[in-house]
Amino acid sequence: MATVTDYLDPKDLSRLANHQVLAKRVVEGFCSGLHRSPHKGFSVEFKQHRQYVHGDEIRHLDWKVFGKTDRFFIREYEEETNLRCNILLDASGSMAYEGTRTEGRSKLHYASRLAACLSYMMLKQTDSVGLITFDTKARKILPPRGQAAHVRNIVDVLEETSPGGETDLGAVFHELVPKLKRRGLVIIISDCFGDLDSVMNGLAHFRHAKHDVVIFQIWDPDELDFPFKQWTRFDCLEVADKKHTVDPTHLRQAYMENLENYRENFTQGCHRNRIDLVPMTTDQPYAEALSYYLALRKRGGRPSRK
Amino acid sequence: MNFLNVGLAFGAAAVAIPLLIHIFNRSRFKVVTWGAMHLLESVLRVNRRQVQLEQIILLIIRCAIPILLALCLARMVVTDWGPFLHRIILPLAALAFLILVALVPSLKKLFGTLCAACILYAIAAEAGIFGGGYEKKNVSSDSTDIAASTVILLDDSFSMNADGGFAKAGAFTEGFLKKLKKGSDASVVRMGGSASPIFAKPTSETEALGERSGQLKASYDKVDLIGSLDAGIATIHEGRNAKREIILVSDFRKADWEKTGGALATLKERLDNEPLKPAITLIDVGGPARENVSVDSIELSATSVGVGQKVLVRAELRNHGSSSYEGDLQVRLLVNEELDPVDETVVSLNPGETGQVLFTHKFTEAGSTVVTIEIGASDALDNDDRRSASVTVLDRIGVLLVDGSPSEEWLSGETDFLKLALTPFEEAKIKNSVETKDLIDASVVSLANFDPAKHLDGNQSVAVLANVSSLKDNQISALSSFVRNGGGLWLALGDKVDADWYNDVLGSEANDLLPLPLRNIGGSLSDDSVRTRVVASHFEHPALSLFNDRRNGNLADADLWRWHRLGESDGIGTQDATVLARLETGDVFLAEKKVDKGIVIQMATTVDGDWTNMPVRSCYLPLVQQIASYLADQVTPPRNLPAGATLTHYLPEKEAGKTLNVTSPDGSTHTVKAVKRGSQAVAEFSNTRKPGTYLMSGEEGNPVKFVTNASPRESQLDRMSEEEIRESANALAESIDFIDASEKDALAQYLELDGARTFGRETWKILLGAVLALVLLELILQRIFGRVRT
Repeated sequence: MATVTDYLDPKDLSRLANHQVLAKRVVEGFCSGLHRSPHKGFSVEFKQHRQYVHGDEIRHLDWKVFGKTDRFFIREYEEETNLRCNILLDASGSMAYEGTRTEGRSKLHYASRLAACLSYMMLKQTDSVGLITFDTKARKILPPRGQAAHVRNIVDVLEETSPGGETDLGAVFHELVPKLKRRGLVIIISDCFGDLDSVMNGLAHFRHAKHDVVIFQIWDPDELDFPFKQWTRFDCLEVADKKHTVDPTHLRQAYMENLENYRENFTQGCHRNRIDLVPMTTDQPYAEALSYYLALRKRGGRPSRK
Repeated sequence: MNFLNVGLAFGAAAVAIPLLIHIFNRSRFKVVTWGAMHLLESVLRVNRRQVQLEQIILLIIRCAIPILLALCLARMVVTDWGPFLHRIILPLAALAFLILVALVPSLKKLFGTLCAACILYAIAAEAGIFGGGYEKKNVSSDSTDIAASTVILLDDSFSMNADGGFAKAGAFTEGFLKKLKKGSDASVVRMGGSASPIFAKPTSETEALGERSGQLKASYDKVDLIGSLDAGIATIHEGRNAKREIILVSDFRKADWEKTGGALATLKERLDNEPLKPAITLIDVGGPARENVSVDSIELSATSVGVGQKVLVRAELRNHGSSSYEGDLQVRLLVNEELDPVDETVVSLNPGETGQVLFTHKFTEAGSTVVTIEIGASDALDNDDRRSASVTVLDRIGVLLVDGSPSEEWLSGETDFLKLALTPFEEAKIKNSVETKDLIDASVVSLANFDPAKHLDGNQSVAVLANVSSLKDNQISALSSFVRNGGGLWLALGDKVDADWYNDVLGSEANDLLPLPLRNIGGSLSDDSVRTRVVASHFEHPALSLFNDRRNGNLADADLWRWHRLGESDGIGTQDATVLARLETGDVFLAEKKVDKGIVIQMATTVDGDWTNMPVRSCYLPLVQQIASYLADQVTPPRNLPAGATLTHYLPEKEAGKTLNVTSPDGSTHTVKAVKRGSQAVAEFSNTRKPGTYLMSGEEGNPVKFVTNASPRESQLDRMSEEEIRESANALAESIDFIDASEKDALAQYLELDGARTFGRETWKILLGAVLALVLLELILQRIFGRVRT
């Protein structure tokens, strides 16, 4: 049975200790937290003045403004809420890929650690986090909870998740949007392999539902530089009888150009939908990449593609 | 197609390397479970067949590179277009169209058709279905533009000196070698006497070869035509260039080309089998036959004469020309090549006739001497105006004959025949008008009167016991001492011999004077059926080597009716005995044993006519003279030899390993080593191509003089006409170029002739260009084929 420490390295956590996962957009929440609520209410943070109308509470009148203008205005305040986050973890067959330079760690292994780390951070800042694993459809749905002990449940689900099956991100996203009743942060950890249009449609559906979406696209270094030299038989991880024996040196340039086009299109698609795309490679410590991303996000920047 | 370095053509087997690599890679593929299949499939999906075609094209290029490289290194030479077109050009064209099929898919049908057409045409042409009309067109290079492999056969026989023929030949050779193009290799083979190349192997230092050729002299024997042509063909076979040529420069005397027989046909066959046939050019530098008188031969009455003994020197002269000498042809006798003659005379000699001249001479000093006959005539050829011979002048040999069965009756004594044979001139001096002396001074004493103190007085070198029954103690003691101090003892057996005394006393350990013990007597005087003869084999022993030439007599001519059988394996005193000759029955005829400084020879039969008729056979006299001379250490191998023969000199056995110097007629010196052979040391020298006097000398002692003479036929200056030359040369090759250099410059004519010739073209430049182009193409195509397609 896995323990929390199997997924959460104390060193990584200490590195990320000062970061907070801030939702870029105002999302709904149900109790006080660090995140802005889209609802205007009376809270500690002033938002704007509004002209007094009959029926407003007199205690909210801004007498300073009255003294200056001889007119009555009401002070409106931002209501802080806590973040509601859903982590969508791709557990399709392609995530099982173990590269030549990652010492036997598959993309899913990496993604699981990332998911655990994110969960822990959010629970620590009293945000709610849930986990959904999927391939062609949702496998396991763990609703968001705010208790610190919820990380245990998340780790258990991560432990029992094994890669397999095909990928159909678009269909899964369409399926999940209705199930996420309240707006929040959706973190997708996947390699995003599949039909680009279908994936974009799925992502657009999330955005239409006012979710804040961050995609952590997981790559293996082999997928990025195609280092194969001798004749190779490529066996598909998702479809059993799909095999191709080729001379990789002959195809490398074409593959790289294809990859470049794909990533370019995917990045542009994410940009159009105002989705943060964070490419990560499995040979790179996730804490480092995540730290970078969170710092950037705090400053309001956009992560660049590695 | 032919190859200059055919061995390197097998490098084309390296074509297997890319094939094996391809097969090996295909079979040894790595398996990767891959996730990003959509990225890979989109590449493969576009045109899988296209990818396979491109891989095939790259494989073909990689296989073609080693093949073309091997052909390039093997220096392929083509002499006609056909094979080159349909084995090289058309396949490359097909490959080019195949590449266009891959690069321009929109026109793949057109290019595919062209590709297939090239391949089919090449296959059909190779199968001979059609030739395309280009078979008769020669692929060739201008002769003057390409490097050549050349062999010059240079006639340096002395007849070339007539009319300045050799000067013309030398000028042509030197000029030709200097004009050869860079990369050429050449060899000059001298034809006089025997084929002798100037350098052991063909050289590319043609200028140096030309300079060496210019220093040659024509002073050698009659040409070895067949040997020289054989050497020339063997050398040209190893030539490095496509242009190959044999040039024969000679004066084409009739004597050189006669009696070639079927040898030229054999050489013609070899030439026909040459993959790159050499061009053959004959250059005639000879002039018309002119006046010439020659000394054809010189004979001596003896090759070994004693001091003070007269020798007759007879020479045969020949007048080859049309001038007549009426008592005004001067002939001189020279000794040891001194300038002043020791004798001279004048003779008459009519055109076409031969005449003889006779000189006599007494030698006053012992040693090896050369006598020369020289004629004073101004003619076309000086080299044949003198001829020499070597004669060995000896001090006389004292031989004591102990007669064991003397008789008053003429030729009935045991030693009568022997003495007659050893001293023939003494016996005939009353009848012979010419005073001569025998080399051997033989004295006879009967056994009863034999007193060693008196008869072995130091003037004897050899003692003969002829049918002696036994000796007294003082006699045997004296004999033993005589032999041990270097004397020679000849035991001739007979019916008086006491076998027991010989075995027990003479052959005892103390005396040790018996080579082989006596056993019993073989044969019968009454029964003719049991007679035997000496086995006529090849004799190595100096005393018997004379009989290897049948003209000196045949030992097998004599019959033996009785003989003593000698024991060979009895152990007593047989360790040092050597059997020199055997009878047909297998019994020993002649045996030898060394005893200290002396030698004992044992003869199984009598030296008179009692047991054998050898004394009345022609071999008897030379046999006994040789045995006596050998025992006295005076036998020498022939010292008058034809040019090219091996000189042989015998030395005592103890001198084996010594180095001797040999001085050739041209003044050059060489060294030879004496090697042990049998019971003596032998020194041999075989580089006697140049006729003249050779001196062989050690650290001490007088030099031994050998004389080699050229064939008298070289003096015959009759020349072949051009028609006769062409007819004779046709037996060698069907197509031969002929240059008459009698009036015009040979080199100028040759260059004019050569300018019109062509030879097969080397293609290594074309092939190298193709290899480089394919290497570049492979790199470019690999990049192009790796691009993404839409």
